[in-house]
Amino acid sequence: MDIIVASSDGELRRSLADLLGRSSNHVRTTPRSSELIQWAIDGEADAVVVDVDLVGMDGVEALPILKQIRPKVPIIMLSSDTSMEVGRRIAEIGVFYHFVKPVDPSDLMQVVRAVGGAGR
Amino acid sequence: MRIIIASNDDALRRFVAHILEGVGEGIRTVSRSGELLKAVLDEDYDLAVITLDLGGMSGLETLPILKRLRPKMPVIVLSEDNSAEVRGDVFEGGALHYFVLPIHPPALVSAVSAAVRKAEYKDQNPESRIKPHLKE
Repeated sequence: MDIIVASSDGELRRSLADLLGRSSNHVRTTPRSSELIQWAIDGEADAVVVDVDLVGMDGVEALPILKQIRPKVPIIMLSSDTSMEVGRRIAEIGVFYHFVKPVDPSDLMQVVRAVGGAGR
Repeated sequence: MRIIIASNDDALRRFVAHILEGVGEGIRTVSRSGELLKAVLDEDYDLAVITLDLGGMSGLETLPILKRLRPKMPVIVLSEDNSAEVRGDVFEGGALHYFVLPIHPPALVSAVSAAVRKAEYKDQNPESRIKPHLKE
């Protein structure tokens, strides 16, 4: 699978790249919302993991743009914010799965496998 | 003519909207890069006037994305920065014009009018486009 990981948190980016890369996935990571949008314009990915914390636009602002450019790409959202407002906005736009950080690696792998299964 | 104006500076946004009132029919103003991209995805605009200071992504980051989403829409950039480096980045990002602030209203109006006339002419006369690959 071709997976994009976007987060301003360098440690999280590296650990997700390591985790997802183990299962023969091709993983690209970026801290910036602009690069995330540029990659979305470039072509379809099999899944996009988007942290609310991004450099530039935050993930909640980038989400509807991403959805409009690539409506079929499953988005896995990560947030440290458990507030109703953020949860409501993410749910309204519609994502495949929403994790509240810290993310449990085995849960994330399960969701990514589900994305792969849904895409087949 | 529909124009979208994007700037984090409230006063400047209102001022530019006021200057272009006579040129554009539907003028929309936004302060954030996310709003700007969403707006051009949702609706057709004939022209965008943006500053480099936007909420969210900077104008320099937003510009190439804007041009990829709407390649035909002319973009005019306003900035206080007169450096050759920023100017180069702005044109590389696909801007049609670059004005250093403070703005000279007649210059902006004439640039906007000319950009839109040019775009309309090209739309009505597709054969007028230069096709270097057809030249022998």
